[in-house]
Amino acid sequence: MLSKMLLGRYIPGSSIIHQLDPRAKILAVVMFMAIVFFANHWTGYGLLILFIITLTKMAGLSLRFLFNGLKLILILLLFTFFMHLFFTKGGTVLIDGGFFTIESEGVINGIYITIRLAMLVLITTIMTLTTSPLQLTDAIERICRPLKAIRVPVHEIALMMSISLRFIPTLMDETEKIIKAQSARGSTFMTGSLKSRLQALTPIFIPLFISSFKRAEELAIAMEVRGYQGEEGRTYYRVLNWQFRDTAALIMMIIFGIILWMIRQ
Amino acid sequence: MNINFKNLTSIYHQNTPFEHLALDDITTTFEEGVYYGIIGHTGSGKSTMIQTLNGLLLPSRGEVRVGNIVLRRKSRQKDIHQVKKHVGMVFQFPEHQLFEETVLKDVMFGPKNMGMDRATAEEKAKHYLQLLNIDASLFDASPFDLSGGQMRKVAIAGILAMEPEVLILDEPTAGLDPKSHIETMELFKRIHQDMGITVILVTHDMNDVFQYTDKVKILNEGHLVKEGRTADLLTNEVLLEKFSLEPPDIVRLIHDLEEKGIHFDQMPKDAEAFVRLYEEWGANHAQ
Amino acid sequence: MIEFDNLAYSYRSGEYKALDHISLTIRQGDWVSIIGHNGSGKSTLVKILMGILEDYEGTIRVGGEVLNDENRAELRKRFAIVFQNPDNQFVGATVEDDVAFGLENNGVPREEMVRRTEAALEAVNMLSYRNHEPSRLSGGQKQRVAIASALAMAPDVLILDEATSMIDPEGRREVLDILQKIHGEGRTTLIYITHDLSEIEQSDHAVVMREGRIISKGTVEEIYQDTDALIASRLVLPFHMKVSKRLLGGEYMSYDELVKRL
Repeated sequence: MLSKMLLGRYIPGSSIIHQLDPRAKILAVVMFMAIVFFANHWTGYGLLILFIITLTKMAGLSLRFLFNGLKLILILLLFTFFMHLFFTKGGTVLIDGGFFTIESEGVINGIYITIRLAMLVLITTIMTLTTSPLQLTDAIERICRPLKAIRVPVHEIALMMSISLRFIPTLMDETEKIIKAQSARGSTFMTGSLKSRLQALTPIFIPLFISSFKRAEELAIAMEVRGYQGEEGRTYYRVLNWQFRDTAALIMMIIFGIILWMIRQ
Repeated sequence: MNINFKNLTSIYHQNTPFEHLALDDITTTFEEGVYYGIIGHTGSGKSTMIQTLNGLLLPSRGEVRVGNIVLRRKSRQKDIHQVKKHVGMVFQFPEHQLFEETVLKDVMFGPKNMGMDRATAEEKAKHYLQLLNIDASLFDASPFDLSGGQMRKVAIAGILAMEPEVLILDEPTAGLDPKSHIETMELFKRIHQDMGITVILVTHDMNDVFQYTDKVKILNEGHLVKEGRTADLLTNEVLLEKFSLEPPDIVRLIHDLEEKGIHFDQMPKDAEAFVRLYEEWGANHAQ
Repeated sequence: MIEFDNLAYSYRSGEYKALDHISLTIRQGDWVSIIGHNGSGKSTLVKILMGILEDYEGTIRVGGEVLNDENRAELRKRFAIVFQNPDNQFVGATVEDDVAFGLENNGVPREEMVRRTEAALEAVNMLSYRNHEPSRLSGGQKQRVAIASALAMAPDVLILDEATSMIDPEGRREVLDILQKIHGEGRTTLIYITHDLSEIEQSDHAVVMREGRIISKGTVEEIYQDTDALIASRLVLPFHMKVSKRLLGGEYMSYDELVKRL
């Protein structure tokens, strides 16, 4: 099941999209979030879709693969569509079911909003698929650095994020092992009443907590003996390298926004 | 109770870009009352094989038959649960699965899940704790206050108390000091002999495999490449080398001595047996 | 040179002593193994040296200088340690990030950091894995990265606290091979903590501990000779030593020699 989740997963590659500075990618996604709202008729939405398809191809990802990932939020998309279908009024009445009506504006709006949402999810997915979580963390730390002026502990938050990223696979493995071990002892999580299912979680959570605390303690010691004492006097191994192509990518995003703005009706 | 694998294939993450073939078309039998070793490199499919043996993983294709129960790709929970009753599994670092307030309660967890009533479960728990030299004064202690070695024993007692007919051991001595290592392996040997249960040992320690098991199955990249008597397979250095497995210490010594022209008519299992054999040889030779 | 003079430590006051007045000298460049059963005090000794445990009795001298509260942080920089659990000491999200972590903490300029990180990874044959995440490494590989992380700090003393007890025999061999190489270069003192007698063969000196005391110390040959002390300390003789002790008496010999003598 988990293996089908695309959101938040990273697929290493060497495409131009992979190589962009993660800061450029984050900024571009933020810009795109605004740009989708410029589209207000078929041409605009068509351009948005075309844009995402081009990006997908440039990133060396297969469209089918990406749309499979969309299935996960299918319910959300359908919900959005039907909300508009039933509650947006205007235009000609297409179906009159007595206590409800479906009107043409509802259908059109439903499709538009669903496309908007899908495009937003897709561009975010493209970003996470082409950017390692570590790079994203770095980028967020750099982008947020000015916040230090108002005493936001940017470095600590970034370190926490990167350690969490580092330990997620370890903890997933650990959880799987404990689930298997307890299930070999006859523990059942799949059957029974809600109460008994919740009770069946105790044998999983307690060992998991205990081992996590132990890990945390040992990690703290390991960090201490390697001289960690906060941000002061620290240098950085990872550097982000903003290049011409990153500026170019953002300029193209702006031009795309302007085109969408100009053709809106 | 025998366990049979029939054309069993196991695939992880089927139909995704992360698809991985862990076991490829395996047909084999684990006979009742035999002490087995499964050997092979990391990633050879050992861990998939033992998890399939007790229903933790279901086959992607083919079937596994445990006594009268057959597990396939889409088996029911009830059947899977039944298999777990018959096949006990001691995972690597089993002390990581302790969770109850007291030692006794923790050992009773498995038996109770298997449908034993409280009194029986408690009786079994006490019996196996004592068998593993856990003093009765510790029964009401928190398992987390015990030493590492004791915790491991309590966890093992928790599996034994379910009285499985087949016992799987996944690197049961990992992280133990050498003395506890020997004690633990001797304990399993005793359980195997006294209770006649089938034992399946997965380990990297070739000396243990040689000393304790009757038969071995060698896995390599998801294939069952060889199976047979331990005494035949682990003394075959050509075979071991082919799958880059280390020969056991004793086998290495016997072979090195053969090169010197000292031939023995049997293969000793441990240092003690070798010493006796060598002394015999020396006595015969002196005549 | 490290000198422990009459070192004592108890975890809880009044209870038995984890370390019972130990005196020991370790020379620069030596490979010293400290062997003992769980609870013999070997890890306590290391924790005191690393400043993880304080409030001990006795004195520790590092290069002639007595270790105290003022110089502890500074002297600690001369030590690096590899712990038992390969997962719980891996701080970085990738191999190279982990190796660089200690250098970042010490404010090493970036160019030098890159150079030292690469050199350290090269020394443990892990340079080609520089971008790998820890979850994709074997136990042996993780411990090699841990050694690289330690080496990058250019320590005078590298301590390995049961660093091979949780990894498979192949990983163990890889780690010991790397240590042999480091030892060959002669700059770094190695303190190797273990409960496995078969792992001390390559070291120059060994110390056997039991219940907080040193019960035997000397060259590896001398330690191996004293089989009674080893057995009394709940240690297990390696296979070839068991055979040679029974057949050829107490004298220590290597495996090859055993084959020759039989």
